[in-house]
Amino acid sequence: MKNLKLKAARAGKDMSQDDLAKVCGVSRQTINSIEKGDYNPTIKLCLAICRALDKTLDELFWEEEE
Amino acid sequence: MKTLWVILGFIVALGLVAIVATIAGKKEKNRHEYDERQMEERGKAFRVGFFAYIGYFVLQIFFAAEEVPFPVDDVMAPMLGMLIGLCAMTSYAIWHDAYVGMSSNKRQTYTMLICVGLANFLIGLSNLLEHKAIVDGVLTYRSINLVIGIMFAYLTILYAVKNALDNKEAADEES
Repeated sequence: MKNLKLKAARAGKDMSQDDLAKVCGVSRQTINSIEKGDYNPTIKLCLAICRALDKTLDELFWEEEE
Repeated sequence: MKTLWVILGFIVALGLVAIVATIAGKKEKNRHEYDERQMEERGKAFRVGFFAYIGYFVLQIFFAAEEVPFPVDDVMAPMLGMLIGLCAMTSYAIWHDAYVGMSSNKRQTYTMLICVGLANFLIGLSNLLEHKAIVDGVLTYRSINLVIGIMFAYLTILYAVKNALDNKEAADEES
């Protein structure tokens, strides 16, 4: 499932995938995979992304029940 | 005598790889640092390589069961299996962005792929032209360099295609 919240938060901070990847210490393709929903990051990476985007885990990674 | 050539071939190949890797990668620290997703994909790549290797042996079993001569000599047969496994593993890793570490640069990787591939291809080509690589329709151990050269050519093309797709994806994302 695509992570549109992450994409929106990143765009809100005017950061490219590459910028966010460098801040979090991962590759650009990893950020891309997370946004596309192809990869589930570990909690450690989730927290790094949240810190980089000044968001909470709920705001970026909580999945609303359909 | 054959064993000596095989051993010499391995030494030359390993030596070339070591020299090229040292020259190309000297300035990079942590050049093989992989992130968590890349480590996961590398694990899957090893599995793909393993099953490709097993698949090759299954193919050999079918040939033996049907009593059809396998068109590869006894020295080359296991080496071909290893190369098929390695090729499958590397192909998967390249396609899933897990071949090159985060700190590695593309130029270093291209240099290694092209140099090793070209050196092996030229040695293999000379064996082919001397009619030593294929004898009576059987791939001999003298074809190892040619096979490695072809494999590296394929991996270089795959790497270039993947890089082009990644660059396009990054450009689309920026716009």
